Amino acid sequence: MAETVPRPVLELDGLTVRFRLRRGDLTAVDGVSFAIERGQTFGLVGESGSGKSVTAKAIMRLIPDPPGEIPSGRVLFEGSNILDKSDAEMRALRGRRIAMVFQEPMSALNPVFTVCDQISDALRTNLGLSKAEARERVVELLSLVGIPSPQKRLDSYVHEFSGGMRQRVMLAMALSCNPGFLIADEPTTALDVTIQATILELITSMIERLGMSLLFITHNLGVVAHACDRVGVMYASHIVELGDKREIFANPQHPYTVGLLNSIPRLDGHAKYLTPIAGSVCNMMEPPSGCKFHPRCAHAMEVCRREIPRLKEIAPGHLAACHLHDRGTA
Amino acid sequence: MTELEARKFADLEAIRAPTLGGRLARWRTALGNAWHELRKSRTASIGAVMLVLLFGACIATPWITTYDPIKQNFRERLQPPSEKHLLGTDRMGRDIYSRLLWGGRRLVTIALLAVTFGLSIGIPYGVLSGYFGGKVDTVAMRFVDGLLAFPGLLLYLLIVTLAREWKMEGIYNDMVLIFALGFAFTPEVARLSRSSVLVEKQKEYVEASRAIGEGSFAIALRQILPNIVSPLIVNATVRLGYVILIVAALSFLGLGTPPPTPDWGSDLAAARDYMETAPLIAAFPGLAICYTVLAFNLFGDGLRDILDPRLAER
Repeated sequence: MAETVPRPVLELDGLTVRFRLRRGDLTAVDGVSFAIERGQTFGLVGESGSGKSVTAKAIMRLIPDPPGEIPSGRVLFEGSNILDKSDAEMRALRGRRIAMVFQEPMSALNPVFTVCDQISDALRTNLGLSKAEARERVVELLSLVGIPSPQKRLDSYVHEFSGGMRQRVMLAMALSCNPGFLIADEPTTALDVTIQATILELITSMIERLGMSLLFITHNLGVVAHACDRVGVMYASHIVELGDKREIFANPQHPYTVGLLNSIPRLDGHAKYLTPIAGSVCNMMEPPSGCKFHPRCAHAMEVCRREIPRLKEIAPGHLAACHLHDRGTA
Repeated sequence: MTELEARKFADLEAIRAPTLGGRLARWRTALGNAWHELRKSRTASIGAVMLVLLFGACIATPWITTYDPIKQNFRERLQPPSEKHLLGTDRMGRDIYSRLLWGGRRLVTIALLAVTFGLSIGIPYGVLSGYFGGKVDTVAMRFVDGLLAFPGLLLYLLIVTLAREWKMEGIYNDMVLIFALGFAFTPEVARLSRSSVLVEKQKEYVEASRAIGEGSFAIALRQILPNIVSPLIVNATVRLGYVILIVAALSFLGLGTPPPTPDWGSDLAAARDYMETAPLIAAFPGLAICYTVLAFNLFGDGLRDILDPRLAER
């Protein structure tokens, strides 16, 4: 390791996203902080509704306002705060520096355009390529993401592709303008299990080949184990545990992470039954006081009801937000 | 961009932009597909055939008519259909067949221009209002509500009377008519496109376009608009028939086209005096109006069934 610490590509600092709804305020992301180093793949894991996708959209500044707002926090992309940028600066950033792959490739691609028209539209607005240049580049991109005989598929419409092929098109579109940073929001969730691995493999190999950094959002720990370097576990708008993949899997410190790992079937046959996490995700309109996880936590103590635990470093680079770890320091 | 070393896969010949021949072939497939779709609805196919005949007649008018539609011939007044005059002659001895065709050509042109005018103002208005939403939308839509509250016929009468006051004649008179009819269509188009945009802008591809760096106007007009054309096409088609009916009605009341210009409405009005002696003179322009409005309505209804299967009653 070099002495100088390289500046992270993306750094979230106390990011908070709130939605003002008619029924009241909903805090979807609450004080989330993490950093992604250059060339690193960061996995953000959590159940549905934990705030993973909202975090991703906040980074892209795609939170509709109203009803959404970002009352506090910073999103530093290559050192400058994205939240301070003008709309024009933001447009220049999207696609060219940060790109995003969506969960549903069917609905995230425009049904009335051919694949070529769709991708070359991005190329022509962002890079100012001519029609013919864009067309050549689309063929390159399509073959790069492994679409067989791309020149024949150029003028096909989205509905003429299978799910996996659509996701490849989506990826080609995201990669079209050579962004340095990619956000993949559950890119394999809508796909067939057999295709999931292929797409996952494709994304990780692209990242490596093009020297990009990746924020990978998923609820699937298996995917994390396969693809990520560092992992953040989110529960009910908070990051509850943050650390290197090996650390998280070998030595989970937050009861929620432990619960998640226990609910994965194992092949080595230690446990006969899976141990699910009791209860279900709390209602985000009326979140429980203190630690959001305490109603479901087997180790809940008096203090958990009163105080929100802070993220504390347990081992180098491994942080957890749980009162169980207070005893040692107190 | 050369760092992507995929070029070796690319067969550069095959990816050149399509040639003229290739483009023609694509158009032919598109037309073939359209006809195939159209045949799903009998209503639409009948309407389409009727419209093809109508437009064909309008285009071919100068070649398939033999008489000057405004030339009077008092020796041949009020003649029944014959070989010389296919549909007979009117009270001034003018050839009804020629008048019908020339009048229809003018009427269809006016209707097409009026509807195009209405669409070209109403669509951007509604799409942008719906896409940007918020206060812009509220103000824009209250204005449209105001326009909708104003009865259309009253508006036509007002504008046409003003045009007459200001001594607008010939082509200017037609332009005023087109403006009035198009303007009255605008609020309806604006509303329809706005409501379709409200549904469409929730879809993920809109967010994806934003994520790839496209601007708001480009997204609203280039990404969303092509997705909402079907209800607009249906509406415009039905509107064409309606506009033709209105023009004929205005002329019938003596407010549209001043004679001697051939016009179905005013010809019908003039034929009233001969209803008892020569009823055919009134029948032909009446049938022409009927045929045209029916053609547009059948085609429009059929199109709606094809384009929006949820509405189709099977």
